[in-house]
Amino acid sequence: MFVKTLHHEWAVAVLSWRTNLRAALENRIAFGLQVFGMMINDSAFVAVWAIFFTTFGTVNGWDVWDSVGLLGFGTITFGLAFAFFGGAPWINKYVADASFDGILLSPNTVLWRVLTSKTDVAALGDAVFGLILLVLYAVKIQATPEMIGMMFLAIIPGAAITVAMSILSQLPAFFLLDGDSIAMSLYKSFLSPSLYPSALYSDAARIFYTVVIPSILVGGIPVEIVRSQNWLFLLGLWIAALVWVAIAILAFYTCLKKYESGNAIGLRSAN
Amino acid sequence: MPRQNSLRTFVTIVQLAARSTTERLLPLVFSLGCTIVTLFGLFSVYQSSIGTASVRGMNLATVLWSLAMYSVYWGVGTRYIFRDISDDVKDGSIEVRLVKPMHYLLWRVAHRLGKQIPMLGQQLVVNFSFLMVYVGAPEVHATPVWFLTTVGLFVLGIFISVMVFICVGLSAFWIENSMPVMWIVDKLVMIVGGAFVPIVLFPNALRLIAEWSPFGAMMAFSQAFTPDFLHHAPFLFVSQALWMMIMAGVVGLMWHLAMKRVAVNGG
Repeated sequence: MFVKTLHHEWAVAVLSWRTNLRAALENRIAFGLQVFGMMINDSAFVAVWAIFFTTFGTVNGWDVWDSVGLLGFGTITFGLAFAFFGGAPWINKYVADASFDGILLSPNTVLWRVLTSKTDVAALGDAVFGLILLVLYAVKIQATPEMIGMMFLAIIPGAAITVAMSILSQLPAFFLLDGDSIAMSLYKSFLSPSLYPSALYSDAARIFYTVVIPSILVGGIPVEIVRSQNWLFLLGLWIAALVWVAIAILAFYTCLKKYESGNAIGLRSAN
Repeated sequence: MPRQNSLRTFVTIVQLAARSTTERLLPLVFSLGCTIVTLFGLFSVYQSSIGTASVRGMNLATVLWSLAMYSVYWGVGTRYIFRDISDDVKDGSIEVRLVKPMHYLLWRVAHRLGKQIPMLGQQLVVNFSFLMVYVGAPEVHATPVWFLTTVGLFVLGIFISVMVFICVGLSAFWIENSMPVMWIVDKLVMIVGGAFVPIVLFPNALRLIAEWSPFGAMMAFSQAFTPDFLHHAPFLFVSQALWMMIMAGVVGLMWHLAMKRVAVNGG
């Protein structure tokens, strides 16, 4: 029964991703502009940290290449998270315009349906750019097969935490009117510190950005894992990711109980 | 209907928009928290990098005060003018707004600036309070000349910023999604505007490019805490004057071309 349900959920998700991608590819110029635009957008952060490390040199053992690794992890996790689970940032909108009515009636798991309902095309640019940066980083540090394996294994929990934080940032929409701007502020609080070199944080900041807001778990910690080749550290990252995902799922379903159906009449698209 | 492009009308729209923003305090509170969390991270990075030393005549306090200026610029929210215009173009509501008694662009700018005023006030209070607690006051000779120069650069920078983002917004008349253009412009402002690294710490060639680009000209006021600010300010004003003239021409041209593409269908 469980396997059958899992298979069904997966099949619906694949169908949703395929439909979203096809819809995005309908206008290929807009699609290309978004993907390449995002890659140029991301390269700005590389430029910024290149200037920083040119000015200050090596700080706390980190140089410009570590920031390349940091941004590689940061952008690929963000890219994968929102390319596949791009519905997360739409939760507040679904609540505000009562789109949840349709989703709640769907025979699928609600959160899974919400997450896979959208594909952020620009996030594909993030994913590609992140991959390029990680390849460059791997070449620069002369990564061994073990380190490359660690890189791949550190991406998945990073993406899971990104989705979890996106879900959590959306939840005030179930209680408050200004869900959109509040969600943006909350998510920015998570995203911005993830782009700063984690090794340069003070101890207090490191604890804060790990326990309270897990920003450094998506970029900084993966770089430190690869540098130290510490499998226990990697295991810790996976556990942290599972904890944050569990918190997000529990919080989502708790907040969902507060949702009140709208009486808006309209046509619902395939998604 | 006669056009009402007077300063009085402009100010009235600003006031009305500001009042509508202050009616909703929660987003402001959350935004305040977000600002503190973000600044704490960036400041922590610089604390490790500079410590008690000084780089090119700038100590930790002056570096952090310079960086905080980007948050102030962010608070003015001129970048959102792009979204306002492109949304109007994409959903067709521009055709309704064109018949307003005030010029569409002036109305859009007034409306956005008004909405952002409470945010700007909050950014100023939060940034400056946080900095005073974190590193103390910056080491500047806060004379009236210094103050007027900083305010002058700030105001002219905002004018340039408004015109740049109007152009980005108007690009929606030609490309379906102008977001990628926005990303590029926004990140150029971030890099050369000193959001992460103060302009004065840039390598010399890059500093020159930054200061003479429209993106650096927008953020010229962020140099107020640098040691040679008053000596350098005339060059910054010249750069701003140059870009104001160029951008005014570009906005005029784009608006003219955009109006030829507007199809008012009525209904």
